[in-house]
Parts: sequence; C-alpha cells; structure tokens
Amino acid sequence: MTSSVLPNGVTVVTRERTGSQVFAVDTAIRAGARYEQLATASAARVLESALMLGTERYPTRDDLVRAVAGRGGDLSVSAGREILEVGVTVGLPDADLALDVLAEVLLRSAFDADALERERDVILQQVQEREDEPEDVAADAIYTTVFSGHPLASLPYGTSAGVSALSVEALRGFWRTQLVGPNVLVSIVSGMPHEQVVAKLTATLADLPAGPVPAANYRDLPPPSARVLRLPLGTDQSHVYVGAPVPGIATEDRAALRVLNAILGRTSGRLFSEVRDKRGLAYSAYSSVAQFVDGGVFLVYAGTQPQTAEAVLALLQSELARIREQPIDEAELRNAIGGELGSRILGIETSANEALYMARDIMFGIPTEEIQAAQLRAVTAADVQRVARRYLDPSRLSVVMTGPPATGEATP
Amino acid sequence: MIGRRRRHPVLVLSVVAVLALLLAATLGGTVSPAVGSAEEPDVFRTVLPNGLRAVVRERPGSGVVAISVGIRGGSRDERPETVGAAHFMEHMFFQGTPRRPEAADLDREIEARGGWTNAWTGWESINFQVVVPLADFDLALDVISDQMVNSLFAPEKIDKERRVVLEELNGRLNSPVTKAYDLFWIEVFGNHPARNLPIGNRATIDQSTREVLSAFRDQFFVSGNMVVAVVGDVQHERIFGQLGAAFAELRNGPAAAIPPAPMPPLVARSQTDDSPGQQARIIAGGPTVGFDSPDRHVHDVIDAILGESGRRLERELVDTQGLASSAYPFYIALTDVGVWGVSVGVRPADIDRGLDLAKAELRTLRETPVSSEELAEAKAYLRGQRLLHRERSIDLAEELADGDALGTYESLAVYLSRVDAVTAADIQRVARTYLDPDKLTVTILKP
Repeated sequence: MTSSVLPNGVTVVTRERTGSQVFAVDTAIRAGARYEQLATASAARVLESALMLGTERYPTRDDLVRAVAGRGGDLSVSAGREILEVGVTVGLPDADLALDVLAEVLLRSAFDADALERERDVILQQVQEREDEPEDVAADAIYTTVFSGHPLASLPYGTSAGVSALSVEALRGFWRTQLVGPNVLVSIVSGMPHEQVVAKLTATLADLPAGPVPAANYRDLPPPSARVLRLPLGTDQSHVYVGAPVPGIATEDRAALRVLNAILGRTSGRLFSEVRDKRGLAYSAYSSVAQFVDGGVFLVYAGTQPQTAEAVLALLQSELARIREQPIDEAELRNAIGGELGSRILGIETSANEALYMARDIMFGIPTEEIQAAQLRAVTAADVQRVARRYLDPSRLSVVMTGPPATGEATP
Repeated sequence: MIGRRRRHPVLVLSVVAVLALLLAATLGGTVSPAVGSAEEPDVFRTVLPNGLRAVVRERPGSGVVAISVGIRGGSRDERPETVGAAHFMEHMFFQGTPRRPEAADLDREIEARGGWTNAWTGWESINFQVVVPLADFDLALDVISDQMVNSLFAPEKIDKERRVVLEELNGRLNSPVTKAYDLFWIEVFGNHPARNLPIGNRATIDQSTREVLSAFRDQFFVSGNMVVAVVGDVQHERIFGQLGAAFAELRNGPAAAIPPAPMPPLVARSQTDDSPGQQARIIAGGPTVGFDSPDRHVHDVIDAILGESGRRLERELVDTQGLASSAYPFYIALTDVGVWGVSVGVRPADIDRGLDLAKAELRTLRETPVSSEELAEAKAYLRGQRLLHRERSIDLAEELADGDALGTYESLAVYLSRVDAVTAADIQRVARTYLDPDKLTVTILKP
C-alpha cells in the first residue's frame, strides 16, 4: 500500500496488483449523515441521487451511467454515517474514463433545481420502500436508539421528513462545505503504478478546494440507557435487536471487542448455536460491532416467529449474561482470534473490496494490518470478559422488537 | 435460489453444455487422465474412480482457495406435497457427522482460519461451498467431504431444523419484495414442475419426514450426480488425488436426468395481494427459453438494453416520469425453460400507469429495431461485467460445479462470442415471441 497527499490535501492510496486488468476506485468523502444539521437533514441520502443527476459534460443520469456501463463498468454513490463513497470499477484500459467521470461527479455536478425536484419524489418513494421492510426499520431503530441525540444517530438512508424539507441551496451548501481536500481520500487497487495514479489525479482533481476544513463534530456518546422499543411492523416474523454503545475506533478495547463479537456472532458462535442450532428458534442469529471515530454500537440479533420473540429476547440476554459472568475457554479464544486474522485475506479478494477496505481504514483511523494483528494476538480470555462486563452491562442494553400489529393496532 | 444463511439474489450463471468434454472423461477404474479444456487451458477435468466428476481451475498467485460441490437435483424434482425437501436436506448436511457431531463443529474449524461455509438450493441444483486461505485447503477439503460423505441426519435434529426452515420461510413472507417475487414465479409456471419454490410452504415443510428427506438424498446425493470444483493456486494432479481419497466413500449412483416438461403457455393473467406498508410492487413477465436455447444470449442482451446499459425502463419510469422508485428487468434461465420480467416500485395510485409505461417499453422493443450504438453498448456492458467479476475464487468454483452438474457450463470465451453474434433482428424476434405486453403474468403487491 502506497499513499500520497495531493497539493490540495486529497489523500491518494493505492495498491498495485501487477498484471491486473481491473481498475477499482473507492472515493471516500467526509459527507456522511453525521455532518447533517437541522437544515441539511437527509442531505447525505439525497446526495446519493443528486451526484448522479448530471454534469456539464454528462448532462443526465443516463449519460453518466451509460458512460461507465457502456464499457462494462460499475459506478455507484453510497452514503454512510461518516463518509459518502463514490465507487467506480472499470477495465484497466478505461482508467482515464473512470477518473474523468469521478472528477465530474465530485466537482461539476449541476444540482439542477428542476431535476432535483423531480428526483425528490423518487427518493421519497425509495425511502418509503425501505420503511416497508421490517428488518431494515428494526436495524435503523436500534442505531437511532443507542446513538440518540448524537450525530451518529442520523440515518444515511434518510427520512421522509428530511427528504421533503431539504432545499436545493442547503444541499449545495452541504456538499460545498464537506468537499475539501483534507476531507477526501481516493483509494485505488489496480494494475497501475502509484506514481501514474497520482499524476492523473493531480490533474483531474486540481479544482477541488483545499479548504476551509469544516470543524469535526466528534463528541462523546450520550450516557448509556436501557430502552425498549416495540414497533408494530411485518406479518410473519419478529426482528429482535439488543444493542449497546461502545467507544470509537481509537479505544484500546477494540481488539477485545472484535474477539468478543467473533465468539458471540459467527456461524460457529454462541448465538447461532444456542438460538438456531440447539433450539431451532431462528434462521438468522448473530452479533456485530460497528465502530466509528467517536463511538460505536455492539448488536445482537435474531429473527423469529412472533410467538417466540420474547423467549428469543430472553435467550439473547442470557447469552450476554453468560459471557459477562463465565470465563471463556482458551480454544474458543484462539478460534476467534484466528478467524479475525484470516478473514482479511478473503475480504480483499476483489480489487473493489480491497480499495474499499483501504479507504475506510484510513478515514476511520484504523491501525495498520500489522498493528491490528499484534493487538488481536495479545487479547486474553480475561480481556474479553472485561469488555463484556464493561460494555454489555444490562444497564446499557437497549432493545428493539418488531412484530405484526395486534388486531386493531394502527401501523405507524 | 435460497441459501443456508445468506439470501442470495436470484442469479443464474450463464453456462451451456460442453458434453463432449464430459463424455470424453467418463472412464472408470482409476483416476482418468485430466482433460485440459481447449478454450480454458487453466481448467482441468476428470472423473474419479467412484464416478464423481472433478474440475480444477488453477489460479497462480491467488491467496484464497474455494471448493464447491454441485448436485443435480432441486425443487423441480420434488412432488408437490413435499416440495422443500431438497432445501431441507441441504440444511441437514450441516447438522453433524461422527467426527463433528454438532452443527457448530463444521463451521468452527473453518471460521478459526478466517474462512466460511455456505450452501444454496435452487430449482434444478444444490450447491455447497467452503472458502479458506490457501494454506488451509486440506482442512477445507476434509470438512466439505465429511459433510457430503458422513452426515448423520439424526431424527431429533430433523425436527429442530424444521423450525429453522420455517423461520427462513417466515423471513421471505415478511419482506414484501421476496413475497411478490415468489407469488409471480408460481403464477408463471402454473402446472410446470418448476413452479415448486425451493423453500416449499408451511404444509410441505411439515410433511418432510425423515423418509422423504432420505429418499431425496439417496436419489440425488450420489457420486454420478455430483461435481466437485476447486479453484485456487493449486496443481490439478495433486488435487485430483486428494479429491479421490476424500470422496471415496460417497454413495454411488447414476446421474439424474431432468424430466422434460413443456414450456408454460403465454397467457394474460393478473393477481393482486395485500401487503402492509406504503409502496406497491409490480412484477410483470412470463415464461421463456432456458439454457438449452441459443436465444438465451439474446435475452441477456435484451436485459442489458432494458436495464443496466440501455436503461430504457429506468430512464422512462424513474428519470423522465419520476413515477417509480425503481424499474428493472430480469431474466432467469433454468436448463430448458426460463422466466423474464420487469419489476417496478410505485405508489399505489400509480400502479396502472407504471404498468402501462413498462408495457410501452416492451412494444418499442418489438416494433423498433435497436440502434447499432445501443446494441454495441449492451454487448460491451455484458463483456466488461463478465471480465471484471472474475476475481472471487468461489464465484469461479460455483460456476464450474453448478454448470458441470447441470451440463450447462459455458466458457467465458464461448459466452462472449455468442453474445457478440446477437443481432438487432434477433432481439426483435425474441421480443415478439416472448415479451408480449398482451400476454403478461402480472403480480401486484399493494398496501
């Protein structure tokens, strides 16, 4: 991995795969939902569409998409909580096309008021379509509950109210504020050498301003709470989430949290074993840990029939109690650490995935592979139990459950 | 197709028979000499002593190795009253062996190396997968062959796993999009055996007894009906030897042919179902040709023109009219039959208009030849996508195992040359034959 910083502050990181005919780009911009304010609510979600609506040289979405698809490539924009990503993957001979389209999208998107008005209604429908999927609504709700009042609570998928209210001026302002060199990272995995990539990007991104860099809004998470939210949603299944806040990526407990998650959450892990394999109560049961710069969330999940939702919730909670109270054995620990060490090799098999990993590692301040590996190897059984006790205490666990509305109950 | 723990998107690998290769390799006795493919010098095939077909794609420099086992057999082969048994049986192959008595034992060793296992069941085939770092190949082979050869099928685990399968069904029914898709599929196929959904339904899952499951296993999970594929930085001679030993005790039995069934008729029909929520989903389409037809490649080009490269549906319904949340085409090929359709998300008040606009696009395709630019763009799209998406070893292993199990494997070069041969007249002919706006199966899910 090689990295450079362009004169305007844009970071360029590359991995050269000698002989590869793939040119994969992931561009990360600190323009995720967390940077939205009252007047710019849902801006990240609207940008996902607005950045694809056309530029001077590619006047419509059709022109943009077809420029890349017509060469067999992929072009996408996706908003997250911290970053907004523009991804382009093409064959190596089309590298110049990919970088040209990327620069156009970033620097010269028209944000045409008429086109945006028409698009607003499409986005609203897409947001509502997501609101029709109970599993997605439940996942959003547990994040919102755990992060309540914190910038990380902002939904990258937008809300109907936010999408409806957002003005074109506010959208433009949001993008202009966030799109400054030090907020931008371009990650490329391809058959092209680093120097050549840097030379091309220095030219295509020359118009990207170096500043002013907006103040970061990193701050402490809200005090943990134990809230319970029941949502009348769905027809045939209940989704049960239990979630707790955890610190951001810089915490010294990060490696232990990863091991804790591996012990609970994988297919051979405790939740899948207890909920699915031993009792047949769910098709899907897992845990996950998502960490951002200033905070994160540890989740456990199972989907079960509505009649067994309470029993499954009790089972999830008892598994959290078990890992808090009983030491894990050495074999379980070693398997969890081994899995975390090995999974990266599989994760970066495709160029596009490796580009994405590299981009996120740097944007979120994740230590290098070597440091992470050393930290993982150093995790002890006592560390795992300590972080379980510290972060998964009952006083910190919030619950979201969906299920079919009782007769006469209104669907929200 | 439905998976063991991941819901796979409905996708179909474009593959066609290379029967000559398979026939050339049907020698008994010892491991027969490997046959390298003329088009794909990195692909080697053989038939192991017990009749199990083996295929290796050598990928020097790859740090990941993938093993896929393909079985010819799926929901299409099932009786209507026990449909779902193939998929249920697939789950049972994860429920323990004498050496690995618990389900978690199978995954534990693989996950401890950073790898994963999975499986899916379709209409005509079942597929098992394991992926690990290259150094752990021996372990991965030991696990997947142990599953295939020594799975226990303990009665108490069948009853437990039945509840898991029912939860998988509940998950499909709880999501408006998958529910609409399943309703459409059943309607298109009518009395055709492919109407059987791999997941089955509540009644048939309940009726899948140990006897029903065992009968499916004994007919389909046999050496002559299976293919094992390995893709990674490996040497085929050595791998063939290892595969021969690992799968030596597999049940013996012959390949299972697909009983022919006539293509369902094209008729206009419509069904509407209620769903909670705000947005409506329209799925409209019908039966068409499958893998065994040269028109399959024409369908792929049509799909690109209506969808990703030509963008006709999205440009009209989303960009221009601002009417739909999404509008895209699909084409799914089974061996001798296929399904095409368009999927449109709209507000409930716009259902009629959404359907009319989609029909208008079909009429245009039937009445007006596509321009040479649009055709070239569609072909470039299909070519580029195929070339770009060949980095994951498991995708290549699955393509070989499933394609060879079904006898539908087609090399990339052959596929691309057939796509290249598609003309504007072919598109018009296929559209006029199958994409008939007056004979659509329409499924509407609305609040």
